[in-house]
Amino acid sequence: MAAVASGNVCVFGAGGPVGAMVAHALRETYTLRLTDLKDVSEILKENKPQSRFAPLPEVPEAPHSWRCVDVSNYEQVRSAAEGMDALINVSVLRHSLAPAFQVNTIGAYNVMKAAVACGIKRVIHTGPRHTRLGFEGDYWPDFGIPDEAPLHPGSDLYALTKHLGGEIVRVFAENHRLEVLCFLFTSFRPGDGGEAADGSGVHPLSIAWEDTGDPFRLGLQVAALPNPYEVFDMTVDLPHGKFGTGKAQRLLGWQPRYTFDRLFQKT
Amino acid sequence: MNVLITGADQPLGKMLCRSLADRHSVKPLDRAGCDHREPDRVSAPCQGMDAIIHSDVFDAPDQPDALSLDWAARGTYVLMQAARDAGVGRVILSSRLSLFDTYPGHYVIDETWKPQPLPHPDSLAPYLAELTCREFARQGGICSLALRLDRPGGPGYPVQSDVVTAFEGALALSFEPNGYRWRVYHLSKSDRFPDTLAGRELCVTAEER
Repeated sequence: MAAVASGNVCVFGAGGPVGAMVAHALRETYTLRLTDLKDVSEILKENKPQSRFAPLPEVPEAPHSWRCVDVSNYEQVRSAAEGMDALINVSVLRHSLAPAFQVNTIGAYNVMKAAVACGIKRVIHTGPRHTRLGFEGDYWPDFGIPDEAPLHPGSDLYALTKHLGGEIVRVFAENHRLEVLCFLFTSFRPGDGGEAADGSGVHPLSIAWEDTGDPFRLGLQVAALPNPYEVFDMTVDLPHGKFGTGKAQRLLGWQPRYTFDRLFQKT
Repeated sequence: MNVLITGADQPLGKMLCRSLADRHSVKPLDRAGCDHREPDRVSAPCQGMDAIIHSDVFDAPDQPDALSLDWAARGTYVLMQAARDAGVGRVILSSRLSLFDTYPGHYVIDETWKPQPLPHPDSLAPYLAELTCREFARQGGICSLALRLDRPGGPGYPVQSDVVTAFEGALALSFEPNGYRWRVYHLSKSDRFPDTLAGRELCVTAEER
Protein backbone atom coordinates (compact mmCIF):
# COMPACT_ATOMS: atom_id res chain seq x y z
CA MET A 1 0.00 0.00 0.00
CA ALA A 2 1.26 3.43 -0.94
CA ALA A 3 -1.02 5.61 1.20
CA VAL A 4 0.64 8.87 2.19
CA ALA A 5 -0.91 10.07 5.43
CA SER A 6 1.76 12.70 6.04
CA GLY A 7 5.14 13.74 4.70
CA ASN A 8 6.39 15.59 1.63
CA VAL A 9 4.31 16.22 -1.46
CA CYS A 10 5.43 17.94 -4.65
CA VAL A 11 2.80 19.69 -6.76
CA PHE A 12 3.57 20.40 -10.43
CA GLY A 13 1.50 23.24 -11.87
CA ALA A 14 0.85 24.83 -8.50
CA GLY A 15 0.43 28.24 -10.09
CA GLY A 16 -2.92 27.33 -11.63
CA PRO A 17 -6.30 27.44 -9.91
CA VAL A 18 -6.49 23.69 -9.23
CA GLY A 19 -2.98 23.85 -7.82
CA ALA A 20 -4.06 26.73 -5.60
CA MET A 21 -6.90 24.67 -4.17
CA VAL A 22 -4.65 21.62 -3.75
CA ALA A 23 -2.17 23.66 -1.71
CA HIS A 24 -4.99 25.03 0.41
CA ALA A 25 -6.33 21.54 1.12
CA LEU A 26 -2.98 19.90 1.89
CA ARG A 27 -0.95 22.50 3.74
CA GLU A 28 -2.12 21.53 7.23
CA THR A 29 -1.20 17.85 6.74
CA TYR A 30 1.79 17.78 4.40
CA THR A 31 4.96 19.69 3.68
CA LEU A 32 4.47 21.01 0.20
CA ARG A 33 6.98 21.69 -2.55
CA LEU A 34 4.90 23.83 -4.88
CA THR A 35 6.28 24.18 -8.40
CA ASP A 36 5.34 26.02 -11.54
CA LEU A 37 7.03 27.48 -14.58
CA LYS A 38 6.68 30.91 -13.01
CA ASP A 39 7.47 32.11 -9.54
CA VAL A 40 4.42 32.71 -7.37
CA SER A 41 5.32 36.38 -7.00
CA GLU A 42 5.19 36.79 -10.76
CA ILE A 43 1.81 35.04 -10.97
CA LEU A 44 0.38 37.26 -8.26
CA LYS A 45 1.81 40.36 -9.86
CA GLU A 46 0.16 39.50 -13.17
CA ASN A 47 -3.13 38.94 -11.30
CA LYS A 48 -4.82 37.10 -14.16
CA PRO A 49 -7.12 34.39 -12.81
CA GLN A 50 -7.87 31.65 -15.32
CA SER A 51 -11.54 32.61 -15.21
CA ARG A 52 -13.76 35.00 -13.30
CA PHE A 53 -13.94 33.04 -10.04
CA ALA A 54 -10.79 30.93 -10.39
CA PRO A 55 -8.46 31.16 -7.39
CA LEU A 56 -4.88 32.37 -7.50
CA PRO A 57 -2.06 30.68 -5.58
CA GLU A 58 -0.80 32.03 -2.28
CA VAL A 59 2.79 32.65 -1.29
CA PRO A 60 3.72 29.56 0.75
CA GLU A 61 4.93 29.93 4.29
CA ALA A 62 7.55 27.65 5.87
CA PRO A 63 7.82 24.72 5.96
CA HIS A 64 6.24 24.87 2.51
CA SER A 65 8.23 26.14 -0.44
CA TRP A 66 7.94 27.29 -4.04
CA ARG A 67 10.29 26.27 -6.81
CA CYS A 68 10.32 27.19 -10.50
CA VAL A 69 10.13 23.97 -12.49
CA ASP A 70 9.56 23.41 -16.18
CA VAL A 71 7.80 20.03 -16.37
CA SER A 72 9.15 19.50 -19.88
CA ASN A 73 12.65 19.44 -18.37
CA TYR A 74 13.26 16.01 -16.84
CA GLU A 75 16.22 17.05 -14.73
CA GLN A 76 14.20 19.81 -13.08
CA VAL A 77 11.28 17.45 -12.47
CA ARG A 78 13.56 14.76 -11.07
CA SER A 79 15.23 17.24 -8.75
CA ALA A 80 11.88 18.49 -7.49
CA ALA A 81 10.69 14.92 -6.89
CA GLU A 82 13.66 13.93 -4.74
CA GLY A 83 12.76 13.43 -1.09
CA MET A 84 9.04 13.44 -1.79
CA ASP A 85 6.50 10.87 -0.63
CA ALA A 86 3.95 11.64 -3.34
CA LEU A 87 3.63 13.67 -6.53
CA ILE A 88 0.66 15.63 -7.83
CA ASN A 89 0.61 16.84 -11.43
CA VAL A 90 -1.93 19.56 -12.20
CA SER A 91 0.16 21.23 -14.88
CA VAL A 92 -1.57 22.04 -18.14
CA LEU A 93 -1.17 24.15 -21.24
CA ARG A 94 -4.11 24.38 -23.58
CA HIS A 95 -3.82 26.32 -26.78
CA SER A 96 -0.28 26.51 -28.11
CA LEU A 97 0.95 23.61 -30.23
CA ALA A 98 4.49 22.85 -29.12
CA PRO A 99 4.07 23.81 -25.45
CA ALA A 100 0.87 21.75 -25.21
CA PHE A 101 2.79 18.61 -26.16
CA GLN A 102 5.75 19.60 -23.98
CA VAL A 103 3.65 20.15 -20.87
CA ASN A 104 0.65 17.85 -21.25
CA THR A 105 2.34 14.84 -22.84
CA ILE A 106 6.08 14.96 -22.21
CA GLY A 107 5.55 16.59 -18.82
CA ALA A 108 3.43 13.62 -17.80
CA TYR A 109 6.23 11.30 -18.93
CA ASN A 110 8.81 13.24 -16.95
CA VAL A 111 6.75 13.21 -13.76
CA MET A 112 6.20 9.46 -13.96
CA LYS A 113 9.82 8.75 -14.85
CA ALA A 114 10.86 10.83 -11.84
CA ALA A 115 8.39 8.99 -9.61
CA VAL A 116 9.95 5.67 -10.58
CA ALA A 117 13.49 7.00 -10.23
CA CYS A 118 12.74 8.34 -6.75
CA GLY A 119 10.80 5.29 -5.55
CA ILE A 120 7.54 7.23 -5.23
CA LYS A 121 4.46 5.02 -5.44
CA ARG A 122 1.53 7.40 -5.03
CA VAL A 123 0.89 9.91 -7.81
CA ILE A 124 -2.18 11.97 -8.60
CA HIS A 125 -2.48 12.95 -12.24
CA THR A 126 -5.15 15.25 -13.66
CA GLY A 127 -6.79 16.04 -16.94
CA PRO A 128 -10.01 17.05 -18.62
CA ARG A 129 -12.99 14.98 -19.60
CA HIS A 130 -13.95 17.00 -22.61
CA THR A 131 -17.55 17.30 -23.69
CA ARG A 132 -19.14 19.08 -26.64
CA LEU A 133 -16.22 18.41 -28.94
CA GLY A 134 -18.62 18.31 -31.84
CA PHE A 135 -18.68 14.63 -32.73
CA GLU A 136 -20.61 11.71 -31.26
CA GLY A 137 -17.51 9.94 -29.99
CA ASP A 138 -17.17 12.29 -27.03
CA TYR A 139 -20.24 10.70 -25.31
CA TRP A 140 -22.10 14.02 -25.23
CA PRO A 141 -25.31 12.37 -26.49
CA ASP A 142 -25.00 9.54 -23.90
CA PHE A 143 -26.10 9.01 -20.31
CA GLY A 144 -24.88 6.87 -17.44
CA ILE A 145 -21.28 7.49 -18.48
CA PRO A 146 -18.94 5.65 -16.09
CA ASP A 147 -15.66 7.07 -14.84
CA GLU A 148 -13.82 4.36 -16.77
CA ALA A 149 -15.32 5.35 -20.13
CA PRO A 150 -12.22 5.77 -22.31
CA LEU A 151 -11.54 9.31 -23.39
CA HIS A 152 -12.23 10.14 -27.02
CA PRO A 153 -10.49 13.48 -27.45
CA GLY A 154 -10.67 13.66 -31.23
CA SER A 155 -8.25 16.16 -32.68
CA ASP A 156 -8.73 18.86 -30.05
CA LEU A 157 -5.20 19.94 -29.09
CA TYR A 158 -5.81 20.29 -25.36
CA ALA A 159 -7.93 17.14 -25.07
CA LEU A 160 -5.61 14.98 -27.16
CA THR A 161 -2.34 16.06 -25.57
CA LYS A 162 -3.72 15.45 -22.10
CA HIS A 163 -5.11 12.11 -23.22
CA LEU A 164 -1.71 11.05 -24.52
CA GLY A 165 -0.20 12.15 -21.22
CA GLY A 166 -2.79 10.14 -19.33
CA GLU A 167 -2.00 7.04 -21.36
CA ILE A 168 1.69 7.45 -20.59
CA VAL A 169 0.85 7.72 -16.90
CA ARG A 170 -1.29 4.58 -17.08
CA VAL A 171 1.50 2.64 -18.79
CA PHE A 172 3.96 3.65 -16.07
CA ALA A 173 1.49 2.80 -13.31
CA GLU A 174 0.72 -0.65 -14.69
CA ASN A 175 4.31 -1.58 -15.46
CA HIS A 176 5.83 -0.33 -12.22
CA ARG A 177 2.93 -1.30 -9.95
CA LEU A 178 2.36 2.26 -8.79
CA GLU A 179 -0.86 3.60 -7.29
CA VAL A 180 -1.97 6.43 -9.50
CA LEU A 181 -5.21 8.33 -9.34
CA CYS A 182 -6.29 10.36 -12.36
CA PHE A 183 -8.82 13.10 -11.62
CA LEU A 184 -10.77 14.33 -14.64
CA PHE A 185 -12.39 17.75 -14.46
CA THR A 186 -14.67 19.62 -16.83
CA SER A 187 -16.48 22.61 -15.35
CA PHE A 188 -15.61 24.65 -12.27
CA ARG A 189 -17.91 27.09 -10.49
CA PRO A 190 -17.90 28.97 -7.23
CA GLY A 191 -19.76 26.95 -4.61
CA ASP A 192 -22.70 29.36 -4.46
CA GLY A 193 -23.02 29.36 -8.23
CA GLY A 194 -21.66 32.90 -8.49
CA GLU A 195 -23.83 35.32 -10.39
CA ALA A 196 -25.75 32.63 -12.27
CA ALA A 197 -29.50 32.95 -11.84
CA ASP A 198 -31.60 30.32 -10.14
CA GLY A 199 -32.62 27.64 -12.61
CA SER A 200 -30.14 28.85 -15.21
CA GLY A 201 -28.57 25.41 -15.51
CA VAL A 202 -25.30 23.75 -14.71
CA HIS A 203 -22.92 21.60 -16.76
CA PRO A 204 -23.51 17.91 -15.93
CA LEU A 205 -19.86 17.45 -14.91
CA SER A 206 -19.25 20.27 -12.48
CA ILE A 207 -17.39 20.84 -9.25
CA ALA A 208 -17.08 23.83 -6.95
CA TRP A 209 -13.71 25.48 -6.70
CA GLU A 210 -14.05 25.14 -2.92
CA ASP A 211 -14.45 21.35 -3.26
CA THR A 212 -11.56 20.87 -5.68
CA GLY A 213 -8.73 20.40 -3.18
CA ASP A 214 -10.21 17.84 -0.83
CA PRO A 215 -10.20 14.88 -3.25
CA PHE A 216 -6.43 15.26 -3.50
CA ARG A 217 -6.04 14.84 0.27
CA LEU A 218 -8.31 11.79 0.16
CA GLY A 219 -6.41 10.47 -2.85
CA LEU A 220 -3.12 10.62 -0.97
CA GLN A 221 -4.57 8.97 2.12
CA VAL A 222 -6.69 6.21 0.61
CA ALA A 223 -5.25 2.92 1.81
CA ALA A 224 -5.36 0.96 -1.42
CA LEU A 225 -6.74 1.11 -4.93
CA PRO A 226 -8.20 -1.77 -6.93
CA ASN A 227 -5.94 -1.07 -9.91
CA PRO A 228 -2.60 0.68 -10.46
CA TYR A 229 -4.37 3.43 -12.42
CA GLU A 230 -7.80 4.60 -11.36
CA VAL A 231 -9.74 7.33 -13.16
CA PHE A 232 -12.26 9.53 -11.38
CA ASP A 233 -14.72 11.98 -12.92
CA MET A 234 -14.66 14.85 -10.46
CA THR A 235 -18.21 16.11 -10.32
CA VAL A 236 -20.94 16.61 -7.81
CA ASP A 237 -23.86 14.23 -8.21
CA LEU A 238 -26.19 16.12 -10.53
CA PRO A 239 -29.60 14.96 -11.68
CA HIS A 240 -28.83 15.00 -15.41
CA GLY A 241 -27.97 11.30 -15.36
CA LYS A 242 -24.79 11.74 -17.42
CA PHE A 243 -22.00 11.50 -14.84
CA GLY A 244 -21.92 10.74 -11.13
CA THR A 245 -19.83 10.85 -8.00
CA GLY A 246 -20.24 7.14 -7.30
CA LYS A 247 -16.66 6.08 -7.76
CA ALA A 248 -15.09 8.97 -5.84
CA GLN A 249 -17.53 8.41 -2.99
CA ARG A 250 -16.97 4.65 -2.99
CA LEU A 251 -13.19 4.57 -3.22
CA LEU A 252 -12.18 7.88 -1.65
CA GLY A 253 -15.09 8.67 0.64
CA TRP A 254 -15.41 12.09 -1.02
CA GLN A 255 -18.51 14.11 -0.16
CA PRO A 256 -18.73 17.41 -2.06
CA ARG A 257 -20.10 20.25 0.02
CA TYR A 258 -21.54 22.28 -2.84
CA THR A 259 -24.18 20.70 -5.04
CA PHE A 260 -25.48 23.63 -7.12
CA ASP A 261 -29.09 22.84 -6.26
CA ARG A 262 -30.38 26.32 -6.97
CA LEU A 263 -28.97 26.26 -10.48
CA PHE A 264 -31.24 23.43 -11.60
CA GLN A 265 -34.35 24.29 -9.58
CA LYS A 266 -37.13 26.87 -9.89
CA THR A 267 -37.29 29.47 -7.18
CA MET B 1 -2.27 7.76 -56.59
CA ASN B 2 -0.25 10.66 -55.24
CA VAL B 3 1.45 9.30 -52.12
CA LEU B 4 3.52 11.20 -49.58
CA ILE B 5 5.90 8.99 -47.59
CA THR B 6 7.40 10.26 -44.34
CA GLY B 7 10.63 8.85 -42.98
CA ALA B 8 11.73 8.48 -46.58
CA ASP B 9 15.37 8.55 -45.53
CA GLN B 10 14.83 5.69 -43.07
CA PRO B 11 14.99 2.00 -44.10
CA LEU B 12 11.26 1.22 -44.37
CA GLY B 13 10.33 4.54 -45.93
CA LYS B 14 13.18 4.30 -48.39
CA MET B 15 12.14 0.81 -49.44
CA LEU B 16 8.50 1.89 -49.88
CA CYS B 17 9.47 4.90 -51.97
CA ARG B 18 11.47 2.64 -54.27
CA SER B 19 8.88 -0.14 -54.45
CA LEU B 20 5.76 1.95 -54.92
CA ALA B 21 7.22 4.41 -57.41
CA ASP B 22 6.39 2.34 -60.51
CA ARG B 23 2.65 2.39 -59.76
CA HIS B 24 2.23 5.65 -57.87
CA SER B 25 3.47 9.19 -57.90
CA VAL B 26 5.59 9.12 -54.76
CA LYS B 27 6.75 12.20 -52.88
CA PRO B 28 9.40 11.39 -50.28
CA LEU B 29 9.56 13.42 -47.08
CA ASP B 30 12.88 12.90 -45.34
CA ARG B 31 13.24 13.12 -41.60
CA ALA B 32 16.48 14.99 -42.02
CA GLY B 33 15.06 17.56 -44.39
CA CYS B 34 11.69 18.22 -42.82
CA ASP B 35 10.74 18.55 -39.18
CA HIS B 36 7.14 17.47 -39.55
CA ARG B 37 6.34 18.73 -36.06
CA GLU B 38 6.20 22.19 -37.64
CA PRO B 39 2.94 22.92 -39.50
CA ASP B 40 4.68 25.25 -41.94
CA ARG B 41 6.96 22.43 -43.07
CA VAL B 42 4.22 19.86 -43.65
CA SER B 43 1.35 21.83 -45.09
CA ALA B 44 2.72 22.26 -48.62
CA PRO B 45 3.88 18.63 -49.11
CA CYS B 46 0.38 17.41 -48.21
CA GLN B 47 -1.29 19.44 -50.97
CA GLY B 48 -2.57 17.30 -53.83
CA MET B 49 -1.86 14.00 -52.09
CA ASP B 50 -4.34 11.13 -52.15
CA ALA B 51 -2.68 9.26 -49.31
CA ILE B 52 0.17 9.51 -46.83
CA ILE B 53 2.31 6.65 -45.60
CA HIS B 54 3.60 7.76 -42.21
CA SER B 55 6.70 5.61 -41.69
CA ASP B 56 8.74 8.09 -39.74
CA VAL B 57 7.79 6.76 -36.30
CA PHE B 58 8.54 3.14 -37.28
CA ASP B 59 12.19 3.78 -38.01
CA ALA B 60 12.92 6.52 -35.52
CA PRO B 61 16.62 6.83 -34.72
CA ASP B 62 18.01 6.84 -31.20
CA GLN B 63 17.40 10.24 -29.64
CA PRO B 64 16.61 11.76 -26.24
CA ASP B 65 13.35 10.69 -24.59
CA ALA B 66 11.57 14.01 -24.96
CA LEU B 67 12.51 14.38 -28.61
CA SER B 68 11.44 10.84 -29.42
CA LEU B 69 8.03 11.32 -27.80
CA ASP B 70 7.52 14.78 -29.26
CA TRP B 71 8.44 13.60 -32.74
CA ALA B 72 5.91 10.77 -32.53
CA ALA B 73 3.10 12.65 -30.82
CA ARG B 74 3.32 16.21 -32.12
CA GLY B 75 4.72 15.09 -35.45
CA THR B 76 1.78 12.78 -36.05
CA TYR B 77 -0.68 15.39 -34.82
CA VAL B 78 0.65 18.04 -37.18
CA LEU B 79 0.77 15.62 -40.08
CA MET B 80 -2.81 14.46 -39.51
CA GLN B 81 -4.04 18.03 -39.22
CA ALA B 82 -2.25 19.05 -42.41
CA ALA B 83 -3.56 15.96 -44.20
CA ARG B 84 -7.14 16.63 -43.16
CA ASP B 85 -6.90 20.29 -44.11
CA ALA B 86 -5.50 19.32 -47.52
CA GLY B 87 -8.28 16.80 -48.14
CA VAL B 88 -5.97 13.77 -48.11
CA GLY B 89 -8.18 10.70 -47.98
CA ARG B 90 -6.13 8.45 -45.76
CA VAL B 91 -3.02 8.18 -43.63
CA ILE B 92 -1.35 4.80 -43.32
CA LEU B 93 0.73 4.53 -40.16
CA SER B 94 3.63 2.10 -40.02
CA SER B 95 3.48 0.80 -36.48
CA ARG B 96 5.06 -1.95 -34.45
CA LEU B 97 3.97 -5.35 -33.16
CA SER B 98 6.32 -4.85 -30.23
CA LEU B 99 3.32 -3.19 -28.58
CA PHE B 100 2.35 -6.76 -27.62
CA ASP B 101 5.71 -7.91 -26.24
CA THR B 102 4.43 -8.18 -22.69
CA TYR B 103 1.80 -10.79 -23.49
CA PRO B 104 2.89 -14.39 -22.79
CA GLY B 105 4.83 -15.83 -25.68
CA HIS B 106 2.38 -18.62 -26.39
CA TYR B 107 -0.60 -16.27 -26.88
CA VAL B 108 -1.92 -15.82 -30.40
CA ILE B 109 -2.65 -12.13 -30.84
CA ASP B 110 -4.85 -10.55 -33.48
CA GLU B 111 -5.96 -7.00 -34.13
CA THR B 112 -8.64 -7.10 -31.41
CA TRP B 113 -6.06 -7.18 -28.62
CA LYS B 114 -5.18 -4.18 -26.50
CA PRO B 115 -1.67 -2.80 -27.07
CA GLN B 116 0.53 -2.91 -23.99
CA PRO B 117 3.40 -0.50 -24.55
CA LEU B 118 6.28 -0.38 -22.10
CA PRO B 119 7.16 2.81 -20.22
CA HIS B 120 10.02 3.88 -22.43
CA PRO B 121 10.02 6.06 -25.54
CA ASP B 122 10.78 3.31 -28.09
CA SER B 123 7.62 1.54 -27.08
CA LEU B 124 5.46 4.57 -26.30
CA ALA B 125 6.21 6.41 -29.55
CA PRO B 126 4.29 4.11 -31.94
CA TYR B 127 1.48 3.87 -29.40
CA LEU B 128 1.09 7.65 -29.17
CA ALA B 129 1.15 7.86 -32.96
CA GLU B 130 -1.58 5.22 -33.21
CA LEU B 131 -3.78 7.01 -30.67
CA THR B 132 -3.37 10.28 -32.53
CA CYS B 133 -4.29 8.78 -35.89
CA ARG B 134 -7.23 6.95 -34.35
CA GLU B 135 -8.62 10.10 -32.74
CA PHE B 136 -8.43 12.12 -35.94
CA ALA B 137 -10.21 9.32 -37.76
CA ARG B 138 -12.80 9.06 -35.00
CA GLN B 139 -13.62 12.73 -35.35
CA GLY B 140 -14.00 12.47 -39.11
CA GLY B 141 -12.78 14.15 -42.25
CA ILE B 142 -9.99 11.62 -42.75
CA CYS B 143 -9.47 7.86 -42.63
CA SER B 144 -6.48 6.13 -41.13
CA LEU B 145 -5.10 2.66 -40.64
CA ALA B 146 -2.14 1.17 -38.86
CA LEU B 147 0.00 -1.57 -40.31
CA ARG B 148 1.83 -3.18 -37.41
CA LEU B 149 5.06 -4.90 -38.37
CA ASP B 150 7.64 -6.90 -36.46
CA ARG B 151 11.09 -5.56 -35.72
CA PRO B 152 13.16 -5.20 -38.89
CA GLY B 153 15.58 -8.09 -39.04
CA GLY B 154 13.63 -10.04 -36.42
CA PRO B 155 12.27 -13.52 -37.10
CA GLY B 156 8.74 -12.23 -37.63
CA TYR B 157 9.59 -9.45 -40.06
CA PRO B 158 7.83 -10.24 -43.30
CA VAL B 159 9.55 -10.65 -46.64
CA GLN B 160 9.78 -7.38 -48.54
CA SER B 161 7.22 -8.41 -51.14
CA ASP B 162 4.64 -8.98 -48.40
CA VAL B 163 5.33 -5.57 -46.91
CA VAL B 164 4.89 -3.89 -50.28
CA THR B 165 1.74 -5.88 -51.00
CA ALA B 166 0.29 -4.87 -47.63
CA PHE B 167 0.95 -1.18 -48.24
CA GLU B 168 -0.47 -1.48 -51.77
CA GLY B 169 -3.53 -3.09 -50.23
CA ALA B 170 -3.78 -0.32 -47.66
CA LEU B 171 -3.70 2.28 -50.44
CA ALA B 172 -6.47 0.47 -52.32
CA LEU B 173 -8.59 -0.42 -49.29
CA SER B 174 -12.18 0.73 -49.47
CA PHE B 175 -13.58 2.72 -46.55
CA GLU B 176 -17.36 2.58 -46.46
CA PRO B 177 -18.93 6.06 -46.15
CA ASN B 178 -20.65 5.18 -42.88
CA GLY B 179 -18.14 2.58 -41.69
CA TYR B 180 -15.10 2.66 -39.47
CA ARG B 181 -12.54 5.28 -40.37
CA TRP B 182 -9.78 3.66 -38.29
CA ARG B 183 -8.47 0.15 -38.93
CA VAL B 184 -5.55 -1.95 -37.75
CA TYR B 185 -3.70 -4.80 -39.46
CA HIS B 186 -0.95 -7.13 -38.28
CA LEU B 187 1.71 -8.34 -40.68
CA SER B 188 4.18 -10.93 -39.46
CA LYS B 189 5.79 -14.20 -40.40
CA SER B 190 5.36 -15.34 -36.80
CA ASP B 191 2.39 -17.57 -35.95
CA ARG B 192 2.01 -15.42 -32.82
CA PHE B 193 0.41 -12.76 -35.04
CA PRO B 194 -1.95 -14.37 -37.54
CA ASP B 195 -2.39 -11.97 -40.42
CA THR B 196 -5.65 -13.38 -41.69
CA LEU B 197 -7.19 -9.92 -41.69
CA ALA B 198 -4.33 -8.56 -43.80
CA GLY B 199 -4.73 -11.55 -46.08
CA ARG B 200 -8.44 -10.96 -46.47
CA GLU B 201 -8.54 -7.19 -46.75
CA LEU B 202 -5.09 -6.19 -47.99
CA CYS B 203 -4.62 -9.09 -50.41
CA VAL B 204 -1.49 -10.48 -48.76
CA THR B 205 -1.71 -14.09 -49.97
CA ALA B 206 -1.01 -17.19 -47.88
CA GLU B 207 1.86 -18.13 -50.17
CA GLU B 208 3.56 -14.84 -49.55
CA ARG B 209 3.26 -15.35 -45.80
